[in-house]
Amino acid sequence: MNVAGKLAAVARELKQPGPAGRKLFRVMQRGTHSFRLAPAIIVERAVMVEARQQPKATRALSDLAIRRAGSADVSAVAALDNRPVSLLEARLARGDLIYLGQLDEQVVCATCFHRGPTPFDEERAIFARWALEDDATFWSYDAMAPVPMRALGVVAKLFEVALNEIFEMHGARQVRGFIYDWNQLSLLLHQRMGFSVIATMTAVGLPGVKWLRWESDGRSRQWVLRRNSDFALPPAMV
Amino acid sequence: MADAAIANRLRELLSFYSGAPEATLRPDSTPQNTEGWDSLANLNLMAALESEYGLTIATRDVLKLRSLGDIGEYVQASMAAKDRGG
Repeated sequence: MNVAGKLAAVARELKQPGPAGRKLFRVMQRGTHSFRLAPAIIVERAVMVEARQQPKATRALSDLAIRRAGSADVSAVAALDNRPVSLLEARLARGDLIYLGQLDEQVVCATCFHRGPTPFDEERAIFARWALEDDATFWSYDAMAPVPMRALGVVAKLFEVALNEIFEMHGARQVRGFIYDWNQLSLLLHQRMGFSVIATMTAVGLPGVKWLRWESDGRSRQWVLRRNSDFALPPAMV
Repeated sequence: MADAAIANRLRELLSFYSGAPEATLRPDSTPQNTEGWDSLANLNLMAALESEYGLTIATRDVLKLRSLGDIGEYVQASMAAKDRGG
């Protein structure tokens, strides 16, 4: 999109109904991506979601083979949406669980879980590290599937089966994740899988420094931190 | 084209699972042009069709069903095959 197109998109955003502050935030958020300022400058908001029980199992798509991925699967998983193989190798190396869905011999979708008590820190340059109280708390992140397969049910089936296994076989008491506010489809999917929104996080990052605002249950707190700070959001906040 | 009973039932089911108003659903409705028709809605729709029509829908087939009309035709063809003992 050229500059005129980007400015037109900003103008459309400003005409949307809603509070002026929210519209301004959205324009800034889009602007950092449209004008390629991100990741040096970031303006993001995400909600934290949590599930305390496994979703109901659905019978459909029962021939989709769902299993834990190992190192031999990394290349096929990375190819789903062109992730670096090294990123997935690092996830496995730190003990994260990667689940994949397979049709015949073809990997068609994958998703990841990080187990506590180690904080989840892949997004710490943007937000914070996410403290997990114990090894019964899991962090759910990253659903991968080629675009044509995203609304057909395979991702939902994978997530449903993986979540059931996380609760039943890995002893999860709660599974948490965060979803960028522009990803309403993901939020809807999580809510229908039994997740609830428990907090909202806003981040504004400049080179070297970031400002964070955390809102939960009518309370809020804020911090100014280094961009790659080791600060982990305390469990007491949620 | 799927018969009217199947088409109507499909619209009811998809409306229930996606939240899209039934009147807005047409044979050319797809996940891309229908709000709420996401991965979970499609999974639930397939589960409901399997249960209601006694079918087993292969995932490979699901990947080829791109519109509500496609799904109706698939259900009708599967029912006909079942009636023939196929």
